[in-house]
Amino acid sequence: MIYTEINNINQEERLFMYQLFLHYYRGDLLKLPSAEWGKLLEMLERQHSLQSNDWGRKAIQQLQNLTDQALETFEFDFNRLFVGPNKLLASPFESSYQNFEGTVMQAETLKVRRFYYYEGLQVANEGGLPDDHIQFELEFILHLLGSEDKNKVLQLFLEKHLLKWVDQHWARIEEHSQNQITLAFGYLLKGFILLEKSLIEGEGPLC
Amino acid sequence: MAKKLGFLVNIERCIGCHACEISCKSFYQLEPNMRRRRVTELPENLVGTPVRAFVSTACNHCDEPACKKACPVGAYTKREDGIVVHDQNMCIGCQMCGKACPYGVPQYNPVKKKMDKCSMCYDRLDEGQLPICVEKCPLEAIQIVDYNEVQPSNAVSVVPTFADPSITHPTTHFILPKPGKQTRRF
Amino acid sequence: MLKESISRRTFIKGSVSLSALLGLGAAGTKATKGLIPKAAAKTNGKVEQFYNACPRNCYDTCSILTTVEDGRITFITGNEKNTYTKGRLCVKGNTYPRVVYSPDRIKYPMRQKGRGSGNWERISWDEAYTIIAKKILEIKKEYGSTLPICLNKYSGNFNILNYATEGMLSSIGYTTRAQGTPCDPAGSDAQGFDMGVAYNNDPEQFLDADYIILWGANPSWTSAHSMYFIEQAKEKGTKLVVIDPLITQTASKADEYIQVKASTDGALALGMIRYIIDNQLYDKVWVSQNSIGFKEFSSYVKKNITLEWAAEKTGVPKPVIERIAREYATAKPANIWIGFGMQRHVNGGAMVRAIDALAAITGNIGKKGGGVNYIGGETWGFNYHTMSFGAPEGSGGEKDRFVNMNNFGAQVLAANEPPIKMMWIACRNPLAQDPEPAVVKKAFDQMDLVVTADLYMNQTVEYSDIVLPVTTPFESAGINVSYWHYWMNVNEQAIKPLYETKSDLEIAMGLSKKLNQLELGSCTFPVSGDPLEWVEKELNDDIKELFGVKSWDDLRKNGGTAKANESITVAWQDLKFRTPSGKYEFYSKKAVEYGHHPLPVFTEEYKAPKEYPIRCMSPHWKFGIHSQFQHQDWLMAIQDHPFLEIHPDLAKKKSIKDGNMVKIINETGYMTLPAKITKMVPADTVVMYEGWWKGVNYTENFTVKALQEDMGEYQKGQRGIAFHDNFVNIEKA
Repeated sequence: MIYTEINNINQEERLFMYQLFLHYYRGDLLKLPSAEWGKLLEMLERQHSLQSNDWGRKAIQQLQNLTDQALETFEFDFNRLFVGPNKLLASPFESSYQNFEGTVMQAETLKVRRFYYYEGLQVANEGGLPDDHIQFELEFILHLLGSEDKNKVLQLFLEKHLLKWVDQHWARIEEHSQNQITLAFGYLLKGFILLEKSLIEGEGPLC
Repeated sequence: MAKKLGFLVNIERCIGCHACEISCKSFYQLEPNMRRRRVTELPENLVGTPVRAFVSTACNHCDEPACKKACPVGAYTKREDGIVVHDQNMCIGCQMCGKACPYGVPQYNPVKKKMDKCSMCYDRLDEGQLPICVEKCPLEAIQIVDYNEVQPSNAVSVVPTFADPSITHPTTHFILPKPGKQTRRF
Repeated sequence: MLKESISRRTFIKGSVSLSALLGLGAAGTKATKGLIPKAAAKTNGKVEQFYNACPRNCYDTCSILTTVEDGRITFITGNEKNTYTKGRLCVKGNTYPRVVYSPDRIKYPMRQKGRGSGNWERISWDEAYTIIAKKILEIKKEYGSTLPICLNKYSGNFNILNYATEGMLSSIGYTTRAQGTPCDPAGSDAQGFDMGVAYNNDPEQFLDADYIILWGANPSWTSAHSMYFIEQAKEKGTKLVVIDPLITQTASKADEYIQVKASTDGALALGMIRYIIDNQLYDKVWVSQNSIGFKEFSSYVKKNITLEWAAEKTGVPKPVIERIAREYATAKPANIWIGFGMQRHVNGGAMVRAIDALAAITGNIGKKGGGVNYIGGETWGFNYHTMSFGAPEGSGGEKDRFVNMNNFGAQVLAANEPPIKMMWIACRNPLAQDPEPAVVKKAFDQMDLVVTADLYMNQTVEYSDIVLPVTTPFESAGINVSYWHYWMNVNEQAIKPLYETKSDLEIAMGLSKKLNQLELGSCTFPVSGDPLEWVEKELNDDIKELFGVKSWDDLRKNGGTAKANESITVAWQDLKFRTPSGKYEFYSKKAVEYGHHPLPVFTEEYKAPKEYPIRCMSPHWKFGIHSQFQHQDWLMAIQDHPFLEIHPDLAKKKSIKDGNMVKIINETGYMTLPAKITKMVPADTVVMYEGWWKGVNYTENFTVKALQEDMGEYQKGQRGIAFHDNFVNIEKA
């Protein structure tokens, strides 16, 4: 993995990426008309950070060669990985990784909840949806991004939670994904997470 | 005189249901492969006539615990009442205790990177409650006995699959099943 | 809130284009889905306890105590206030936290594009209701009735409120129903002919027995809480006899185990009866005061039954039959428990009648500590309010149509005028649990729409068009009783339903609402209602008096569990039988009405076909109830694959070694699984335990034919299945 322009990732691009992943995991992209995928691809192509790392380039390459069949089966594959009704192939819950047996709503979930509480937030359907679904973790990060005074909280949250498990999550996506889009988003995630990690290691400002 | 607490496992009553093991796992929220108590199938010819027999074992809280001797950081202590306690905070996960124990009791938890074993629920005992496995066995087949006070006459210190007790002097004892009469076609 | 906080950001521009593209506004605006300001009153570390009831199809139907911290279940165990549950659960019940919090639960309503394709799309509840309701109305229009809609629901959840599913279907018109039960029909008919109905003594009264015969029952695996009382009785000196073709876990605990040839238990009972009559050991007073037809029965026995014949037939030596007969007849009281497995034969009903007769002639019926215990329903006197709404006005057809649950596939395929076009499946997994699963699958193929409500993906969900996610017992309210013990257990909602799961009751209300939106008056089921109001409506004065409770809420506040008063816990104590004569009927005209011999006679067992000489039994397994529980990874960690038990002699003959893969085959199907060589099974029989095993592409029913039991129509509407008359051949694979 070579990423020559790590420092080039600016805050705007980070915000873009977090928002993109939030939309993705929330299922917003499932109903995206095929024509719109072209526009999304254009946007992705404009992101410097993506062009500057192997995973980003791989992702864009996948999306550039998107077939109709991939568009048609995207939702099915997305559901096989993250939604159900079958056993999830790449669970979107943190506790499925932090907790050896993958049970949700365990101690890890509560730790995530405490982060939300600290910021005066909670999951709308608390108790009904595990707090550590990636969608909520991403939304929480978006909440912190941009406020310099949240730098420490964000760093802690990334280190203790999101960055701790997304690698395993991504590995399961790579293993089980049968679709160009889910695979592309897996690559995007992998590349982006590497950038986030290097940002933390480089002690760059997170917010 | 100090206590010498140990498990008394009644194989005559045990139906091999694993409720002891799963209730312990549930109570302590252990991972699927972490088994502080385990139920083992015994040979069919245990009592002569063929039967399905099981034995439930946990840590044997030995008089001379090999785990304690083997631990390089002193994470093991033997309490006055005989319970062998493993301090997970001190544990460095070197697995020496697991290798030393003739019963293979201390198990490596790959998530916590620490060893893990039965504590006879000493915190519950200290509060006057029974260990989970004792309380939750549907057949009341597991008891805690102070072997300094009572020596149950029908108890034995070894069953098949159980290592030679002369090595570490485990406190666990067993009540063997009585063979019933059988009229078999085969 | 988040919208505001994000819009304050200076660099928001970059992402606006993304959100605009997706037509969704800035991420985070969908407040219903995401994070919101924390409610002020929230506290950490709040610990609560709730009463739950295990609703599975199980004798023990436990009262559960659930500990909840911060809205999350941390421990589930037995309720100590229930003297049968005694504060502890069986191994399966101990896995409930995992059942609730497994990431693999079905979470959302989903639609499969192409049945069996695995291509699922998530839909909203509204979409699900709309698809289903439209199909119902379309069918009604096309066929002039709702009879092409078939319900197959049974025992996955016996919460009384779950009868809402039946109620919902009744509320749309006349429909087709899978009728009957795979459990107990032949034996229940037998006890119906003999005594009027099946009615058992309180199992806590095993302690009062002087002698116990467990006849084809394996409570060590299927009723651990009963086994406790049996072990207690044994330790205080009660003799425990187990009669079974297999050395079960329970047989392993017996003072005396008698290995009977499968499906000849009736011959053994009749042999014992012959000995008891010959030796004047029967209770002449009881028989003359409380029965009819003893003379006819006695002369049948004297004419047709000899101990030599019984010994030959059953494989039990004559001296053993004589000794057991004498012991049983002279012990007072002596208790018999007939297991369901014993009657899963083509002559199962007749065999239960013979065992009943044994208990009757010795005067053991109506006595505490005695009885011929099989199943009971005395505590089930709820209002069944959920089923009370009736068909809407102008419904086509006259009444519901029935197909036999036990031959579901073939009968669905055969149904016409009108044919069956839609299936609703709840609390069942027919593609795993029915005989001849291939035929059931064909029936599915004929459907326009298959809707399944379930907790987990299973063989039936895999082959459905729409799956509806349901709640666990901990996420909805209810009330439960047992068909064995005499307790009533409250089920409180302990936690919020996870994801978008709903109870069968909520689903019924939701679908009714949609139907009425699309066509007013098309469904009589209420469209809304608080589950707590629904559950209170289940209790009537009789049941309140029987259990000494004021209301569901009263019971909830007072221990969550109540036992029926002693007036009913000894079956037939008043000796007023519910037969036409009011007496115990050795001679039953009712039996004749249903095409059977009037007397408890021996009827021949099913004979093995020449090509398939080995009996394959599929009894219940200790880590599962039908297809529930075994698939949970806590249990998979103990035993993760099915196996076939084979006697060493048979294994030797077939050159099979322990652990070898064995192919088991007959004209219905085949499968391959590893061998376990053991003397626990006889040499003419192999055993494969029942249950849904994850990761294998077969079920124990692959070789099971829809072969009927001899009885079932009288009490259950339909005959049962002779699951254990399954003959196969085996070879090393």
